[in-house]
Amino acid sequence: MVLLGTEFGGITDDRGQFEIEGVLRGDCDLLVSFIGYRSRTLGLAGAENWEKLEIRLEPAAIELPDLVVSAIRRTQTFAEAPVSMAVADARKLAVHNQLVLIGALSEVPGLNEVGNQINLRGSSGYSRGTGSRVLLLLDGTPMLTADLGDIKWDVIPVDQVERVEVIKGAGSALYGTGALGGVINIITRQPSKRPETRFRIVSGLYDQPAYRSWRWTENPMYLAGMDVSHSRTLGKTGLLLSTGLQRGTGYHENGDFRRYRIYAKGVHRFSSTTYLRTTTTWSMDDHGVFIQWKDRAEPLAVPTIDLEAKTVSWKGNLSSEWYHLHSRNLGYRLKTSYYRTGFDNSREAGGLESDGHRLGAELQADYTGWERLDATVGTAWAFDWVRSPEEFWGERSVQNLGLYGQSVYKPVANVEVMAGGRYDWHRRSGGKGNDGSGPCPAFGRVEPSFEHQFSPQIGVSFQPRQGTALRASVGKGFRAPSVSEIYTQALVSGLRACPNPDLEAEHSWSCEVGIKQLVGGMMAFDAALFWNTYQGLIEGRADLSEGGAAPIARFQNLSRARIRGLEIEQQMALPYGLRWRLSYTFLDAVESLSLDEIPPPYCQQGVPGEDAPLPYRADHLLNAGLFVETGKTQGGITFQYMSQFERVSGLFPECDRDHNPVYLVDAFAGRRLGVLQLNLRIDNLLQYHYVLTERKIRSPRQVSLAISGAI
Amino acid sequence: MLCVGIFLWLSMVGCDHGLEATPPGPTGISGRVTFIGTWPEEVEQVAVAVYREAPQKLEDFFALIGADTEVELGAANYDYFVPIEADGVYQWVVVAWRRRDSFWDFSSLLGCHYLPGEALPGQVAVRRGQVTRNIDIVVDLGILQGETNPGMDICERVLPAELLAVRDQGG
Repeated sequence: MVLLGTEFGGITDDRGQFEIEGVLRGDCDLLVSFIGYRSRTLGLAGAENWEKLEIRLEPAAIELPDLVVSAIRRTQTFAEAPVSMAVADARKLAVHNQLVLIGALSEVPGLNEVGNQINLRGSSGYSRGTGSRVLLLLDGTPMLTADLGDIKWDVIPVDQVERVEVIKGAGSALYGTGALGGVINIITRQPSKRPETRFRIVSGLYDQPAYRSWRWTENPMYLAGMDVSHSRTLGKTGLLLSTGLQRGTGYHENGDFRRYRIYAKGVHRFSSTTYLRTTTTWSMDDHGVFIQWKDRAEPLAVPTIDLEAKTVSWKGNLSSEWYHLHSRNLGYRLKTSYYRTGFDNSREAGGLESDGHRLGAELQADYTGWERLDATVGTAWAFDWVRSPEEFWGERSVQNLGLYGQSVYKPVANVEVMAGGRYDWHRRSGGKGNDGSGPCPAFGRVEPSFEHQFSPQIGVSFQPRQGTALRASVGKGFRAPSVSEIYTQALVSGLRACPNPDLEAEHSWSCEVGIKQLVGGMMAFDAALFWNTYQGLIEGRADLSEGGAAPIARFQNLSRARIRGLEIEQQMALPYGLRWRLSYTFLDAVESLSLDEIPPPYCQQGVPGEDAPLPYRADHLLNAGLFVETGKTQGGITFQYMSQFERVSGLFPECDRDHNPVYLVDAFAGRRLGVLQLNLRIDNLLQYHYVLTERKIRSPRQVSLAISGAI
Repeated sequence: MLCVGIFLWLSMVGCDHGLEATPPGPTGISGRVTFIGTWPEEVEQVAVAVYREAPQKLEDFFALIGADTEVELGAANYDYFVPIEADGVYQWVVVAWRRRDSFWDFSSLLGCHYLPGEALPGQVAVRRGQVTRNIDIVVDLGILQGETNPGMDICERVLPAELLAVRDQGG
């Protein structure tokens, strides 16, 4: 339960008893929700009559999210959010038996993963692990790396995730650079009041491929992971410590991995209105590198030259948040964070290494003293510093300062207007050029550069009657290129990537209209139309403009691009504890090819001066699922369809020959046995083989069992 | 009814495993590369590459139709296979090398396919679903020690003079 518009809330114990600390007396709205029950919002007028509340909830046929915090950086109900959002709670995530979180997000409407990169409504495409257009937040703290500007999923404590909120569309008005395509906010558990130990064991086997000639080993291919955590409250301090270990062979040659992770959280309450939350996480990942397959006839084997390719990466994060409710209407929040990431590739994997540091600080104030208007203002600063060998990225730094403000105006009870904006100053350090002795053409010393950007956003939500919510929003977004997108020069497995010191930030306008509709408590429906235009979209392309060298890939600003589409989601309760869920996203993603476009070496990519499909975007995404829950047993079967990409990179001679549409069927069954929860899952039940990125085949059928519990 | 529908649908799609074991075909060019002389230590990788036409400008050099990059280093000979998508006539089948910590570039050429007694590289016809065999190539590794080789003259005879000038300038 949460006091809307504040940081305060509580969780019931096994008997349903709860206590909320830090409440200042006065009028407020209390949102009460529980899985499987219809949530209630209680208007609590005056202070005297709610020191002891008794609240009854009615069972709900379908499960809808209740509250969100990411859309306007403050707590609000899901229906009031002026932008399209999706929420996945811990229970929905747990049935995926995943070792890393990204695999559990596949059922979020409009979200798909390409080469370990998240796409929200086609925002990111595939940029070979650099420059995410989706901003990842861990409890509100940005978690994009300083060097690659990407998301490291293994740093997320998957056993501690309580809820994942996904904002679709540009979020730069509040979150600045990186949120061009959307925001994913991962909210982790709070330390428990009573001593509690949790554990989770996942083990699984990959099936052999459908064709005997594809086998690269006769040994079992496995994955295994174990997470253990303990949480308790000592006096005014809540503590949580979690540790995890994962090992596996992977499903392809050189797919072996070892991962270690430690995560700790402490929450100290100085008083009923002030707390300090500190979080730290560290992880290490040691794995083989599969850059591309050996041959189309042996797609699970690696080329002989890549057999010894390995990489070791590490990530460490320390963040803190101090919150003080100064008065009933005014709250402050100060956040600081330090995120260090690095990797060290073996010589066979290119011999690349990097050490990236990101420092961040943010101050935010929320004011709710006016009758119909709430306001949020803040400032955020981030400093990225990257050290790597001169022949790779060199030593580079980037600094960003943002000022943001947002107001929520309620002219009448059922209308909410949100308006705000953010001004960002972005400074990129200069540095040494390249003398041309490496794999890439020479370029001179890079001078420091500076740019600034204003990102406004306005949104409206309107609830004309009970069960109906309309929304509309328009906003501007931007993303400054990451260090890796600007400076990478590397030669890996015959592919050459070269720097582009002239690379500029990309910009977008994003707008959408949508409707949520609840029909008789048995069916929920959500539909949205969206239209995003981009200027200077950053994409990796073959560059043949430099004569006298082999074809090179480098990141370039496209002149103009557009992604528009439609998204619908439907949930329905059926008899016998059955539930049905369906979501469909249609994308029309094109870029305008400039007249001086030089065709890539291999594949026809369109006619210069005309529109061409954006690479790695699927026109159609469909998710459907049938679920059942009776007593302590639950199960489900899901189907995912993704149409074939109309266009891929053009860096490989086979073009899109090996790409095909995706048809995936997954199934799971779970049962609670005392304190234990068992979940058996089969991914890719029909053993369907497919490729999303060139020369990398995706996982075959996989059977896994997860056992979790809390003591 | 829903269960029956799901069962029927699963039965229909359950037989489709997506990507086929091998692409339709095979279509391509195969043969033996024979290496004469001593392998230098700095060789990192050797490949057989197929071009529809000999390059006429620098970027054409990288527009290869297919390649076999698995050539065994240090071997006296290697049986290669280059898969090719489309049928047609391919006018330049070559062997190239890559120096350690370096990349393929214009000076990578080691040899090409030509018929004995011919003055120009051999043309190879490929039909879809068939492998054109015995497209053999002889490589004299002495060229890496600066020795001249008449075979290389044949390989380069179809290249424009401007292109060779760029190569000689270290382009």
